Amino acid sequence: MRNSAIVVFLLLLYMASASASAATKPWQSLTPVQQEALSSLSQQWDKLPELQQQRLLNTTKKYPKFTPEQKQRFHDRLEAWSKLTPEQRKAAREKYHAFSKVPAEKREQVKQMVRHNQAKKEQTPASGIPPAPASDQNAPLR
Amino acid sequence: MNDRQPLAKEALAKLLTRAAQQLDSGTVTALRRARDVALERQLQKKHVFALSTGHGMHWLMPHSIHQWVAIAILLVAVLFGGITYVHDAHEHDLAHLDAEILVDDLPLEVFVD
Repeated sequence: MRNSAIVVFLLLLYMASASASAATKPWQSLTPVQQEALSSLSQQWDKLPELQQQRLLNTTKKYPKFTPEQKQRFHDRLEAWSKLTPEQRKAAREKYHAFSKVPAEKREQVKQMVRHNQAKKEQTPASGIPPAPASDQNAPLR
Repeated sequence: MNDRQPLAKEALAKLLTRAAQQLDSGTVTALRRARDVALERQLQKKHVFALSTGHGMHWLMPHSIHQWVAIAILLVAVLFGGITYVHDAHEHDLAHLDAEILVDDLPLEVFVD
């Protein structure tokens, strides 16, 4: 009977520790690397649900291996990412997963197309009127 | 042509008994020893057969309530451990994917509706 009691106690201890690890983590308890990676979320961190906190913490595991450019992208996108609904994030993962299976050549074509569109958007001023081509600017007035 | 009649069982037994009585003691001892060896082998074979039908594994089965409780707790622990492992593996995959999306050279808007 004593053996059974010990086993029950150990089992309960294990379950308790497993559930404790899933509890929310206050911002102050994060490691310096985690705080650096998630710095753009420092204000709203404590209000995030524990599952989202846990997932975001898991994403920071690779953070030290990112290039400076990747770190910048990570910071820039993190807030927008955290504001998405779980369904939107799920859809985005599915899209990304599907896109990663497209042949590299076609993937590169899509990326170039996106870059081209982005460059066009950046050139367009807030008024929405595209700037005149450089050759036209130098042309004499008629 | 063979005109001999087949011997009846009783006649055959009588003949064998008479023949056995006429055997010298050395032959009788050798025959008895051979019989004992044959019986011993037969017993060993029976024992192996009994083991193969599962009676030899009887000690593995729980005999008391305590043992049944211990087995049940062990099964629950294994089940809990398995579920935790699968959940962690799934979360790890999701985090890996999220990190890739967040650092990809394509903007987030491409993947978000």
